Amino acid sequence: MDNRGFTLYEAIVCVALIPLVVTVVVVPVDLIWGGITETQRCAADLQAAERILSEARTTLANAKEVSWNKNEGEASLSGRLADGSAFRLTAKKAGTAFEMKVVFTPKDRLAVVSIGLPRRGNPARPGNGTSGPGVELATAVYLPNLRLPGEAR
Amino acid sequence: MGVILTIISAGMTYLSAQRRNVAESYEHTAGMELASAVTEMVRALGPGEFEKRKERGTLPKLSSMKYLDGCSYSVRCTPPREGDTRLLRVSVTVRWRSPGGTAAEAGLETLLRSRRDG
Repeated sequence: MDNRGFTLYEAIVCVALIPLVVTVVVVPVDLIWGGITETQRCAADLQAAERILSEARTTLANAKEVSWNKNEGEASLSGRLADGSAFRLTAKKAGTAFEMKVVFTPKDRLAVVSIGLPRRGNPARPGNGTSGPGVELATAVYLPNLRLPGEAR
Repeated sequence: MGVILTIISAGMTYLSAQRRNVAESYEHTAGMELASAVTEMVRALGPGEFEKRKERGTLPKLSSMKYLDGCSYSVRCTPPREGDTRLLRVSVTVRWRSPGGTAAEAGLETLLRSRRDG
């Protein structure tokens, strides 16, 4: 009877090849796939940060009344919009991914809003996304029609 | 083996291109936001006061500048028409070095009415 199964020698060679296959194929493919996923997350972070910044800009530009609290260089702004609805922009972490800072200069009626992206948001400084802001986008908003607390109506 | 190496090499090239694209789009976004922020400062302070404060270093800090390598900006204010002082054309150019070492810039030109004429 002709037995065409594996010989012991062939089985040993197959087992010995497993680490080689893992090293040559699986590890690089995993690295590339991980890199592509990370890059897609970076792009998504950037888009989200742009949206948040744009929303903050629009909100502040429509503000009619504002009050603010300053604490160690960060600030929170709250107030009312032209239509009477309330708004609030805070310096505390918005979720886990972004940090928003608002620094308001009442004298100049100028608010500087910045959004900190997670460290993975900067391909030059990659990370796991939980190690604090790696990059920031900042913009300024001029609020000429703003009525400050204590000012005459 | 040759086929596997070719696929891996193509994957690495693709990944590298993707990373470069994201880095460039981040930098460009940050540059444009900076240009917009500087324009807004000129609008708030007026061109004269803006220049004075820029020289004194007392302008509000734009924290994103430190993330762009060698970032600097220039501002040019001109009236759109000879003798017309109501409007102002503000051109802001932000320059930095991209990760590859080449020069990059983002610019914004805005026509605005200065609230406080400096």
